[in-house]
Amino acid sequence: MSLLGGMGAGALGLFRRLRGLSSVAWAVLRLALSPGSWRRPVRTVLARQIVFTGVEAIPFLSLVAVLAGVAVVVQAQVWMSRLGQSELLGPLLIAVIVREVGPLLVHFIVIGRSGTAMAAEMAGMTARNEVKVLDAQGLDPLAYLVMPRAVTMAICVLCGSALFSVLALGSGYLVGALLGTGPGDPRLFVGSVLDGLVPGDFVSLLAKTLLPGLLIGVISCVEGLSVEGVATDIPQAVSRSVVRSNTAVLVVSVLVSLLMYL
Amino acid sequence: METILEFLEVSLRPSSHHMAEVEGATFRLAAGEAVVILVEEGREHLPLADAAEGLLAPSRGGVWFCGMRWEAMRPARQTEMRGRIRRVFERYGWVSNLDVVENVCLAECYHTARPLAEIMAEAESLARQFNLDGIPAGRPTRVPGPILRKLEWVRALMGRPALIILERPMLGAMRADLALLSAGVTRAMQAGAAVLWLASDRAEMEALTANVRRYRMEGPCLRVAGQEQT
Repeated sequence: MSLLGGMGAGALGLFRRLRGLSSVAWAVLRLALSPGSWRRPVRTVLARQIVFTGVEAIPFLSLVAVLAGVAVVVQAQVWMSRLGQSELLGPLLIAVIVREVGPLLVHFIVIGRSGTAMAAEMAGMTARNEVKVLDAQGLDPLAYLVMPRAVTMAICVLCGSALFSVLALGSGYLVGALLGTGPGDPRLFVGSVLDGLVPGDFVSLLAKTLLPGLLIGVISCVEGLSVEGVATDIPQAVSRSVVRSNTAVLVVSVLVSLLMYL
Repeated sequence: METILEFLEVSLRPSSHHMAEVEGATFRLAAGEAVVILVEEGREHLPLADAAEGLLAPSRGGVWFCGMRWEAMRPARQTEMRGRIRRVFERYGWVSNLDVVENVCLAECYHTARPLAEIMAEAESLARQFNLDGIPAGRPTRVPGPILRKLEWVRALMGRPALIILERPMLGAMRADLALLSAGVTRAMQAGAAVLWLASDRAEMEALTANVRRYRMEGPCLRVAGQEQT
């Protein structure tokens, strides 16, 4: 195959994958918005996934948030003060922590901790023929397996990002105050951060968490379910789901950032 | 009586080497009736159950469930219709990451608005009919095979299914429990369920005594094995 032919085949393959992913994501969204989809077992799956992906992730997420907060906020305080631009501290922290670093790090945590588990779980179920067992009992795998997991991812990434931002800013302030690098008065710090918030930041936070969160849920499940009944395919499916989820998060994040700044 | 399941000149091509071919199978199953097909042990898996549920499309002929051809239904409708079918699987029929009790009650919880306590009570009652102490706690992998097999019978007989498919239901079960199973199936038939029973041997084939038609597989073809008894 010629170089051009190879590139064309690659582009067509990518287009087909994107089309498949978009159609599953769209179907999941429609199911999620239909009250009839939320039957008892589906609600149970949602609750369990929220506990696993959201609640049980809080200690690790908090640790990362505190460390990131100390690293970013203290440095920002030092450099803004040296440059005589302390009044820009709030907007800078909002841009770095709330808009960019927070959602990205939370996505990476969720992909590493829950996306991999979901992909492995789905792949294992497919390899053991359990998806057919569900199908045979009239449980649509998309409605019972994929939809609640994708919705969980979206909810947990949104809530996790909000928690991450609060913890990072708070811990950064506390360490800054202890080291004497930041404003001693907490009201000054909080006021500076709140003054830096604009409505666009909330839109950005929603766009950078809900959409990619849903996508990583869909990707993790679809990659797992694509295993063709062979247990040895499970590691590859998990690996693919991590690579594709991270790619999706980065692409959506960059696109939203560009749209926000344009 | 309303026709629940109809196979008309159905041919099924195996999708794997573990599966047997079926050629021109024709039968009709009404509410309260049973069709028992002898699929002797050692034979490959017969994909009739999958075809009856619309999970496997025939290469020729058609399968109708409750008057509708599977291929003509939209996917959402197919899923909804499968909610009226209960099945004992020939192979492992459990979802590993759910507890046994959740597995047993899953279809009833999903497809009906019955209170959970009522569903659980029915499951416990059916379990006792099969000489079990109740529904065991924990995941299916921790439950011994013969008990798990009886729990599949419990699951298949729960609620008011239109069709019950028993795919070699005695595999892994105690031979002495056949009478318990046939009594349970007879009660379900009296309540209006149609039954498709893929039997492993003659004893299973003779287990039901009323409203039953018997067939056997001869190569890929379905042959009548006995006269209808009513």
